[in-house]
Order: sequence, then structure tokens, then C-alpha cells
Amino acid sequence: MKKMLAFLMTVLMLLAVMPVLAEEEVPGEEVELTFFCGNGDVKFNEVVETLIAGFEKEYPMIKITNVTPTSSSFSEGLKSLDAVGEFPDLMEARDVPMWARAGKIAEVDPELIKLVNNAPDYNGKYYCVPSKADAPLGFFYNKAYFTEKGFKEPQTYQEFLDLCEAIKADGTMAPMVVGAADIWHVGFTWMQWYINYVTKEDPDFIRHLYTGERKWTEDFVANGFRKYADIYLKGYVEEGFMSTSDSQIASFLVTGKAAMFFSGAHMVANIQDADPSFEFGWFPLHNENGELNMWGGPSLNGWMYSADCAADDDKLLAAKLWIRYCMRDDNYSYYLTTMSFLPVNDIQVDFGEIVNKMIATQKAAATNEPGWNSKWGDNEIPSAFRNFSYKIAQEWATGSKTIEQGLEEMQAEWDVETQTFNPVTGVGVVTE
Amino acid sequence: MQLRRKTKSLLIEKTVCGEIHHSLRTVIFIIQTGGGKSAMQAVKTDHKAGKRTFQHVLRLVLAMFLVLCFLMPMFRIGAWKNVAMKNGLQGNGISMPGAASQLQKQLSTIVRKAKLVEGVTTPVSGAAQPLRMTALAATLGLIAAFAMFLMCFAENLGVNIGRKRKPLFTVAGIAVAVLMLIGIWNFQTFAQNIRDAAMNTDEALGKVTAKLLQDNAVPEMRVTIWAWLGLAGMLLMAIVQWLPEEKGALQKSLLWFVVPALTLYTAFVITPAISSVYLAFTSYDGITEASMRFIGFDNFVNIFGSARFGSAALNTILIAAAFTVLVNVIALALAVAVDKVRWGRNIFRSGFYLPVLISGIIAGFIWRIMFNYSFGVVNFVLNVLGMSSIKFIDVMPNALLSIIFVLLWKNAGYYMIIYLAALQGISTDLLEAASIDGANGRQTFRHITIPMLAGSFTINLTLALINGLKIYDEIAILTDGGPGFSTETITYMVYKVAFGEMRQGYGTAMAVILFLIILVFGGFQSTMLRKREVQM
Repeated sequence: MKKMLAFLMTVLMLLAVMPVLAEEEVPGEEVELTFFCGNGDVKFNEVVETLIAGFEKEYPMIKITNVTPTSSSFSEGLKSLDAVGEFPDLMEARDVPMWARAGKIAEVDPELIKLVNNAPDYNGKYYCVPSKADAPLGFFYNKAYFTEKGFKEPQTYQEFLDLCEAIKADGTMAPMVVGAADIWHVGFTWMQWYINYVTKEDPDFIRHLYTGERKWTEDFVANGFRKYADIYLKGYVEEGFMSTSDSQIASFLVTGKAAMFFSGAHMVANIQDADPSFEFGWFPLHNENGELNMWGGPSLNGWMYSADCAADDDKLLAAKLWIRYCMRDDNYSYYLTTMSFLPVNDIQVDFGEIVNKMIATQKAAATNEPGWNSKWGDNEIPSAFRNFSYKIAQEWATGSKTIEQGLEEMQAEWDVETQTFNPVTGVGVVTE
Repeated sequence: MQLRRKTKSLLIEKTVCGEIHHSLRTVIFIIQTGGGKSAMQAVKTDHKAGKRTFQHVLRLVLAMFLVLCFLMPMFRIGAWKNVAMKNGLQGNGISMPGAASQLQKQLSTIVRKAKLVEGVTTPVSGAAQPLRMTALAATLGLIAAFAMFLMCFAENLGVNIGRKRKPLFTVAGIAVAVLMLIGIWNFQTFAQNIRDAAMNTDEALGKVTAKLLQDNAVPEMRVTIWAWLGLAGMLLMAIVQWLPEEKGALQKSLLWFVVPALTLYTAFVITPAISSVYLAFTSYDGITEASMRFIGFDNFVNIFGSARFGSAALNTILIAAAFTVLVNVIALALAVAVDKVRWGRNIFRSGFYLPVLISGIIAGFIWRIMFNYSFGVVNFVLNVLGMSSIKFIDVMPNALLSIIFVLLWKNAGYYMIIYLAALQGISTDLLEAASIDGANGRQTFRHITIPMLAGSFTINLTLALINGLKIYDEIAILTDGGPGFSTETITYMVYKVAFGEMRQGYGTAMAVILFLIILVFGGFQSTMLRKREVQM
């Protein structure tokens, strides 16, 4: 019996060791992968370049060519590459439902999905390996200035308005800076007010727009965005915000031109880069009742590869190696800590005081919901509508349109776009 | 008999090879004589005998192309029929209308059964009826095109069909064009019906339609592209048809010289441009083939009902008008200045021309940084001078004015060079004669220089107008069309809509409108200026 047990134990041990002994499969010949990612954030570009350099060093037979254009947004850049027949092999995952419907991206290897916890699927299929969870948005502020003036972190929306008024009255610096020259940056503030005043009232607002039960011109929507526009119109935002880009806002904070800005956790690294000795704090934006409704939860952001890449064995292998490389503890930890991205698996990372506070706040929030433009299913918005809305937001901010005019234009645009895309009725959504 | 054969052989040689021989002889002759006026006149005289041949050959080629344009869609429709039959359709498979009839029956069955499926409320009735119309139009169109081809062929063989040709061609041509349009319209409707039917059936019933969709993911594209090309061919045919035959024989002969360039231009510019017109009538998102649904004039209706497009159109006109006038005034002033200046002439010329060498994107970035409200050099200088900062690109109308300023800064040098070349071409005899007659500088400029620059005005104003209507780079970088949509132009909006917002069909419809605007404005301006040139 003992011999039998000893034999079984030996077999089990050998079986356990076998995967370790097996050599990692690598492409048989040299492979070149074209790579595309969003280029709005300087720090993120740096992280990507570091990861690519490390990957190429570890796998010399694989060359990754970054084809990300310098002057277009993510969707424009990717669409332009597709239009000229150069759709990349490997990409940062965004707009996953749209590319999946177009058949441009492949289902990812189920083995890769095991690298993360609770990966979200699209129509029951996995098209991306998530690399980060949506982090909460909030205000980064100049701690020394707040301490000096005796300002406290606001606990209600009214307290927040009072704080802005007090900073404006002080006159030392602008209450806040917004990088509105970048259309996607406008989305940060838009998102918070939208969550607080639109989806708080109707969590299925987008679906109800598709079914015709709601309109953009409803009173509660107008009231929410009136509060949004007031931030600009009351002079709480640094003048010249339309010529300020996202990459400049950290320098506004550290040089004392503005007391706060509203953004995500990724800005922690940018502020520290701008001035390592700068003291800053963070607070979320509460609603009138002191309730916290935050951006967060699962997202289809991570890595994806093209259908053409998946059809080529060597390229597919190389793409899978890239994803494994990025999700390996040492690299994933570097990626998360540098960008202050929240993990999608059980990895333990020390983010530091600010990000830990953000995570704790997010956990305690009354609601956490994905960005309005990254939902899928019946709440997926038409692809053109996000930027259209942000442009309207710019016009509200500069005072060139009233809230009513803007919402009427949004409704008109919605009516046009939903002629060709309506997930509720199935128009424009291919079902297999 | 022998004489007839010989005559026929000579005719063929004359018609088919004659033009090529003649063109080669023309080239050699022009080269030998150095291309002087007398040589050109000699070529013109020499060529008169064969002046109609080029037109004949071109008509024949176009007629062949039209036949092809009708044949290709019919093959495609045939492919549809075959797919349908392989998947369980019973049919005779002899004629197109016959096959369409079978499809009609099958779809009717699908629709009947689909009605039984709970929740299906919009079954398609008469789904394949439009295909019958398409097939009928294609058949009749093919007959008309073939008739044209026969006429052209006979003409090329030397048969004199005389006065009857023009009316016959006109009737056949109109028939071809109308039938093509009927074919396109009906096929779009049919393809949409097929899709609707596929969406409304259960798994078993959807077998045929699903297979049709799978094998013909973009059916409208594959069938109607030929029809659109055929329409373009018909347009060319009409132009050739109505070219005056007694005049300009030399120019027609010389057209052979542009054939290589024209071929490349047609392949890489004209054909893609014409073929893309089709997209203007679809809901294509640019990435999903299945999104390419024919929606008739919906895109155009939406465009003309859009406040954003109205604003973009107004900005396009404002920028183009301001740019055209100002860039020419500045360029002329610079040209006159650098023409007169005695010291550092080359430095000034290079300096003014330097911004032209910078790409619009780079110029945009440079001025975006310069115009930055908080960190920009321009506001820094204003502050040093005790003035307050200006929001150059943050608010309207400053943003629009800033764009126009950057355009002038970047492009004035280009137009200056054209004026400068013309200024240096003015004979000193004329200027000296004016001086002897007692004309002062202003009078000389008004009555000698300006009239002598008429040709340059035409070129510069036309180029500036067309370029002004197409501005893109500077707007993209400087303002991104903002604040909001306030500095968007049609060109910029076309890109944003087609690529940024994934609405290729909508964007193409705008591009078609822009093309028409440029055609009308450019043509009008060019005609007016040429008249003025002659008067001067």
C-alpha cells in the first residue's frame, strides 16, 4: 500500500513538474506584429514603449512595430489604418463591440481569459483580455494651497460650489483647469455630471432613448447639464481652457495656475513627473445629498488582436506571447503602478496613498457604473454620438449655445444616428 | 472581290492603326522642328484629314465598356441565382427574370412561414420583385449598349451613318442611362429585402438568405459598381459625342500624349472617386460590410437638415472667400516688394517662401503653441507690452480669424512666386514706354503691370479658391473644428464624420456636395476670369 502510495505521489509530482519543464512555444521564424494604442497620455506611451522594448529583448524573433499615428484619436487612427488596408495585428482594446461586429478582431484564446478575473464578454464571446478596471474619477488638488487657505474637501455638491467660489474670490489661482482642447478629456467631467444627474435618474436612459421612451430634452437631463455648464460660465475654470490640452493640466496644478483638475487615477504619475515634490490630494465629487456615484466596474479595455493576425499561426502565437508578457506579474505590476490602473486579477500592488484612497472610495460609493461610452448591449451608444456630445459640451462651456439648444441638437443627431444603429430594434447590429 | 477586301483592309488599317501612326508621326515631326508655331500649324493642317478617327475610336471603346457594364451585373445576378438554386431552389435557370421569379417564390415561402414566428411583424412581401426589374433593365440596357457598340463599330469600319448618328446615339444613350438608374434602384431595394427576410426567419428558413448574404456580403457594391461606372462611361460618351468635329482636331490628336497620365489618373483618382459616390446612398460605417444598406437620399436629407453642416458650409465659404482675396493681395504686394528690392532680394524671397515648405500639420502645431492662452509666445509678448491676453483659438470669431491668419502666413509665399514670375516676364520696353509717356508709378502699375498679370490672376485666384475650399490640416491641429463645431469646414467635417464618427456613407454624401460646390464655384470663377483676361 505504501509503495503504491509512494508511486502515485511520484507520478503526481512528475505531472506537476511537466508544464514547468516544457519549453515555452515561440514562433518558428521571425515575426513582425503591427501595434496600435491610444496616444493621448504621455505616460502611457512611455509605458507601452518600455513594454515593447522588454518584450523584443525577451523574444528577439518577434518585432513589434508601433503604427499609432501621432495626431488622431484612437478611433480615427484605427479607422484610417483600416481604410488603407493596414489594420494592425495587435491593439489596445477599445470600442470592442464595434470592431467585433465588423469582424476585424478575433475571439481571444480562452487560456488568456484565465489570466484575469471575471472578464466581460460581448454576446457570449471574449474579444479582449482586460488589463484594467475603470478607475474612479475625481479632483486632484493643491494640498499646500488648501492647507494654507483652510479649504476642506467638499462632502456635498453645494460645498464643492462654495469651494470653487472661495478659490475664485481668493484670486491666487483659478479654481480648476480643464484640458478641453482634447475632446476626450471633456469626457471626464461630462461623465461625472452625466452619472450624477442622468443615469442616477434613469439607469437605462440610453435604452429608453432607443425605445423612444426618453428624449435628450427631458428636464432632468437639462438640469444636470446646466449644472455642468455653470462650472465654466461662473468662471471656475481657468480661462483659455479651449487651448489647454490634457497633457498640460498637471503643469497648471504644480505651477500654481489652478487649484484643482478633474481626471482619473492615471494622472497621479503625470503630477509626480511634473514635480516630484509637489503635495497633492484627491477627493471625489458628491451629489447634493452627499451621495457618491462613481465611474467604475468592468470594462472592455485591455488587449485585442485582429482577425487577420489570428489567421496567421506565427502572428497569433506572437500576439498571445505579448498578452502573457504584459500580464506577467513583474510587467503587470509595472504597468499598473506607473499608470495607477486598477488590476483585473488578484495581483497585489502597492499604489500609494492617493490611489489607495481612490480604490477605497470607489468601493464605498453608492453606485459604480462603466463609462457611458463603454457600455454594450442595449445601452451601447452610436459610435459617432460620444464626440458629438462632447462638442456640444464645449459649446455650452464657451457659452455659444444654451443648454436647450444643445440638447435639441443632440436629440436631432440621435434621431439621425439611430436610423442606422439601434441595438434595441437590431438595426445596424449584425446577429450571427 | 479582291478590291473590296483591299478596301476593307485599308479601312481597318486607317481606323485602327491610323491614329497611332499619325500620332507617332506628329511627335517625331514636332521634335524634329522644335515645336515652333509653324510646325504646330503644319501638324494641324496635316491632321485635318483624319480628325474624326480619334473620336470614332474613343466612342467604340466607350461602347464596349458600356456593354461590359451591363454584362458584369448580369453575371452577378446569375451568381445569386446559382447560390439560391444550390440551396434548394427549383428553377429553370434559363433567364434572369425566370431566376428572379424562382427567388420570388422562395422568399414568399420564407415570408409566409416567418409570419408564423412569434414576434415577426414586418415580413417582406414581393421581396424579389425588384430583382425582376433589375434583370429586365439590365437586359434592355444591354441591348441598347450593344446597338451603340454596333453603330460605333460600323462607323470605325468606314460605314457612313451620317446625320442619323446623333439622334440614334442620343436615344440609345438616354435609354442606357435610365435603365442603369432603374437597375441600381431596384437592386438596392432587392438586396435590402433579402436582408430583411434573412433577419425575420428562423434557422431553417434562413438557410437560403443566409447563404446569399454570406456569399454576397456586399451585393449592392458588386452589382451596382458596374452600373455607376457605366453611368460615368455614358457621361464621357456624351462629352465625346458633342465635341465639335470641325474644330480642334489638333487638340484631339494631342490627347494621345496625355493617355499615360490620364490612364493612371483614371485608375487611381477618377475611378475610386466615382465608385465612392455609391457610398453616399448607403448607411456604410466604413468597417462593417453588413452596415452597407442602401438608404436612397436619406444622407442628403439629413445633411441639409443639419445645423452643423450649415455652420460648416458657412465657414467653408467664409474661409475660402477671405483666403482667396487676402492671399492674393498679400502675395502680389510681396511679389512687387521683392521684385523691386535691391538689397537682400534672395533672402526676402526665401524668407517669404519658407512657410510654404512646412506641412499644414506642422504649421498648425507651431501656431497652436504660439496661440496658447496661458503659455503662448504671442500672449507673452502682448503681456510684456502691457496688453492683456487674447483668446486666439478659444472663442469665436477669434478662432476663425486665427485659422485664416495661419493660412495666409503659410501660403502667401506660394502665390507670391507665381506673381513674381509674371512680373519678371513683363517686357521692360513697355515700362520704359510708359515712363517716356510720363506715367507715374501708380499709373504704370495700374495700366501696365496689372493687365500683364491677368493670366497669373486667373491661376492664383482659381487655385486659391479651390485650396480655400479644401482647407483641412490647419483646422485639424489648431482648433479641431472647435470650440464645439464652430470652425469646422465641409472638408474637415467629411473626415471627422467618415473616419472619426464611423459614418462613411454620410461623409461621402458630404464629399459629393463639396465636389459640386467646387465644380460650380471654380468653373464660374475660371470662366469669368478668362473673359476678363481677353478683355484686358
